[in-house]
Amino acid sequence: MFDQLLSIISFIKPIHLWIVFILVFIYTIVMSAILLFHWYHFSTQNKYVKIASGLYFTVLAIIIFSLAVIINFIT
Amino acid sequence: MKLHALEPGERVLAEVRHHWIFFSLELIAVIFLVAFPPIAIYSLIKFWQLALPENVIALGMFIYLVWLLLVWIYFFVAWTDYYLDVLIVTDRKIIDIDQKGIFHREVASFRLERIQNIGIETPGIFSTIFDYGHLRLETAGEQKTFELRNAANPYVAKDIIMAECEKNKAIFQHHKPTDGTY
Repeated sequence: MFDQLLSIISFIKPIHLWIVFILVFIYTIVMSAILLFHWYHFSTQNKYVKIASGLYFTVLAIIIFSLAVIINFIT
Repeated sequence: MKLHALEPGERVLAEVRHHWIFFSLELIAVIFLVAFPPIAIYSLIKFWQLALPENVIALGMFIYLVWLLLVWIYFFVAWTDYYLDVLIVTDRKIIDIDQKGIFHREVASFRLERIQNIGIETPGIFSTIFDYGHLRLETAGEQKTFELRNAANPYVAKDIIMAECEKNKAIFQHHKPTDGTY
């Protein structure tokens, strides 16, 4: 079973990972826009929204940067 | 930032949300979703004593990071759902915002004079320990009952609403015309 898994993995090329990366990136942009819209239009307190958006975008940036680094490593 | 239809000079007295314990259940689910895959994979590798090539490890990291990103977005969608589902008490009215998912919102507001009864239901031992309950506001009107389920500190919210209702009533009595006309 493990050998089968390895043979499947050997078919995966960096271009496939970049496609996944772009799809994930688009999804992230869309969801972030929706969340930002909600926070800044419907929230009653600015301070919580600022903390939430700061935390959200910081972690998101770290994850996306790490994804790009890993794809480069695989390449 | 748009506050919901506040009149000039109107003050927000309180915001009543669901108790934090219900959001912490989401938090526990997120922690589990983050921690489970690496623990499970590490255990399997140790159990079968597998020696994985570097590329496979990197691919696993890639898949895990995509998973992390999806979980992170899910967490903030859940937080938004929790944070925007609120009952706003002002010195003139109550605004009941029911956030059902990310795109479905129901907003209703009614003036304090219309409140006829405020009810609180604490449904069990946990609600008594953690101080949460169902807050029901009965009004004179078409939609007669407004309910915020599992509201945090419902007795404090009730006291604030009652005090403001009394104030409004006193002002109303003070300005009542003596000839019986309104």
